[in-house]
Amino acid sequence: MVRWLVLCLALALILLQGSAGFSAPAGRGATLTWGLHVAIDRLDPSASFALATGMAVGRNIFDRLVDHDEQLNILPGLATQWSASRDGRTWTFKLRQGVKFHDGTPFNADAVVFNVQRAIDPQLRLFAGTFAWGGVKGARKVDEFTVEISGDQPLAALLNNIADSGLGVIQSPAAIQRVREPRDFVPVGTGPFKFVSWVPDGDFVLEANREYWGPPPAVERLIIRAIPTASTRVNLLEAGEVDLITQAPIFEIGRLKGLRGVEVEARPATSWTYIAMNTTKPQFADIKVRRALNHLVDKQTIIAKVLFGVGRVADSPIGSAYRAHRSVKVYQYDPGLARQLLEEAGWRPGSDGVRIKDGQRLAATLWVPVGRFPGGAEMAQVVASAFRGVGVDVRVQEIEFAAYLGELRRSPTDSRIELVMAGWGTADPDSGMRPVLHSQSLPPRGNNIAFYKNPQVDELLDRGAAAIEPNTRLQVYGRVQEIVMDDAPWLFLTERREAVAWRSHVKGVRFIPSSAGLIDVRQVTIAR
Amino acid sequence: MWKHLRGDHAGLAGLVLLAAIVLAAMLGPGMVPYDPLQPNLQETFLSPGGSHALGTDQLGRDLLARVVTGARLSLGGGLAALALSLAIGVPAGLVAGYAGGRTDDAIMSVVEVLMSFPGPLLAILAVAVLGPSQQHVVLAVGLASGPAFARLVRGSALAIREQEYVVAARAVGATPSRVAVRHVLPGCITPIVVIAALRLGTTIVTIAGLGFLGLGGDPVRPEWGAMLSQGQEFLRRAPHIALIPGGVMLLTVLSVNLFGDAVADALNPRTQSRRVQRGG
Repeated sequence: MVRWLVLCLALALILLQGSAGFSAPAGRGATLTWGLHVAIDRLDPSASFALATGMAVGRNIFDRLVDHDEQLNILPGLATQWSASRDGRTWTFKLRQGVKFHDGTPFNADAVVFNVQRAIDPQLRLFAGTFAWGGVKGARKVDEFTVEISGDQPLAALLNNIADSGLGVIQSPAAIQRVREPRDFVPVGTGPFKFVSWVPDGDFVLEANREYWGPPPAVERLIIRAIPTASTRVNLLEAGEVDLITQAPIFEIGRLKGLRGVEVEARPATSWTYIAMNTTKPQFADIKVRRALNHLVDKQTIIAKVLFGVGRVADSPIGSAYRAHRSVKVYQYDPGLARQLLEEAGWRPGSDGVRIKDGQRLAATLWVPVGRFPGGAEMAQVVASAFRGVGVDVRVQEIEFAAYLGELRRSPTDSRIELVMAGWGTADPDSGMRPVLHSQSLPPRGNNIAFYKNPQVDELLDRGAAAIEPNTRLQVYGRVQEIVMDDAPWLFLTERREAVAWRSHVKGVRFIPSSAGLIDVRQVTIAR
Repeated sequence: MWKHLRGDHAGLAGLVLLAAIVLAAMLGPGMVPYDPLQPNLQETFLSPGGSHALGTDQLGRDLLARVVTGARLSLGGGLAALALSLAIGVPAGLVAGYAGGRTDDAIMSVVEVLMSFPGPLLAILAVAVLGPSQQHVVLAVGLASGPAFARLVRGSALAIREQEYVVAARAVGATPSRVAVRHVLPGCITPIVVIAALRLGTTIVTIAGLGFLGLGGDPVRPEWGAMLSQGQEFLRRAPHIALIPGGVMLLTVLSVNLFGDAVADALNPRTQSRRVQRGG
């Protein structure tokens, strides 16, 4: 008897599960199912450093004062007009009128002031305060739909910082004030989608906001499903279980492109991958050595064979999607020249073939974080092998990500970095270069993990941060790229691109090239 | 032993296979005309056959060269770890079993605590503390399997120390250490050999498992576990990159286990006599 009951129950469960698979409603609005490459870490985008959370939660439920288009131009968002004071320390935003949050409360100057104050509240330690609103000291209501945001220093990067990722979102003050326990948090914004439900490590479900101030979304429902395993994402896309996936594995791109009914794209982004050389170590203190090593990196072949064509030969320290990007030069693959430079620098082959100078061997460990860079371990192996060919002994060591972050935070005096693979990329050249190249950004404060110091670069970066005028910024940051390329504190590798794949019935996926590349599905339509 | 093997086809097959793999590990790297470490980006993802008998991997390295070089790491690592666990486990077990009393309690409580962790987990812990490298992996696996030998030897020693010849040795005034080493230890050799032969396979797999998890350090090295984990990414596009190290590992462990079984049978007085009867 009991056995029968169990059997019936199991059957019922199977049937239920089966029917859930056929839930695509005919006649009602369409559903877009997106296989996201990581789990959403939390629902409050102001508190999350995860790019994916910004992309999934921040960009769909919320709006920002300003937004980016596909060329990283600044577009109006919740602000319709903006201007900076002459000294660049104060920005005035004219706000859009008649906008309502999903909970029915009105959007106005008070809401913006509330959000800025919350973000920069040192007690709350929100990432939004450091990144989106970095340098901001306060916000002031001028009238119902005018706000002034100001800082002690010029805020040249403010617009880009707000528009980037999900950190600059404007949330409903009423909803935030209702939160007593962190787990009660519900995301309430003004954006094109409204929050329905979230299962951690599972589905994040949204529905269209029919009262959206802009063009309302064409899909009725948006389901964002966490699928961290790359092969599973690809299989589900091929099976039609999901309509779109982020971070398609690069070695599958060729095959996916050949499939009918599947589209794949890997667009340029501002972010890039490099190997930092610790310029304070005797092996890498000499600029000639650093240039020689750069001439040993066969970028063309690495991109073609290791990254399956998904990349771009580094011709500048930063990614090509930056508006400030300047094509400076490429260190051409030339082992002969590399040998010559090493000889000139005084590094001569020792008895075991490894070059020596003043008793110091030209040897180093190259750290690669596990699974963080597509093709990272392979790139490192190719580079190490080329180095060995000219008597530079490099040992590749894969290092678990948490341990990697720990090593990167060590102060200059006890850093153990020799060579380390790293990546960076933001929306604004200031946040793009200052944290990795300024001498004030040494760990643990910043990410200048090459311990690179050049007073000229420092001075230019400071000037860029204070310059509101776009052309001045372009010039200043162009010059920084030239100097850094010349000083070669890094092995310049490639621009980072992340492949997105979707079923052909999905139309209108937009790419925002900031960071590693964000996608915007707010205007997606589904044509079956 | 040899007499036994002649009648044991599975054991014989294991021995032949194992000998072939050991031979390949010793001679192979010199005979394959490719560098197992040198990437050649012009020849990536070649299928088996042609100038590369087992094909090439994602960086164009010859898989045959890598597999035979890796055999040294895997077999050598397995044997080294086994030797280490014997070096730790046998003396500890002998002392515990022969001395008895508080010494026994002290040693065995440590052993029991260590035994309560699954071996691979203990090894992962050890590597996490020591840092990833092949030496540390071998060290960790050796340490993790030491307690099993300690328990085994203690059990044998407990039984043997009550034997009349041991009592006799003690009666004529032999020192405890002399009795333990000269009279008790020889009696434990058979079970040690049997268990060691059977554990070698497990040890090789555990080392490869840690390599698979990326704890073996430099991913350039042709360690079978690391090769397997790098190859699984390309399972769809070029399955041979994962299947070849996986298959070779399978054959190695199979041959070690078959041979180990044969050794166990040969040294077991009961099966021995049965076979002799059957053969006679």
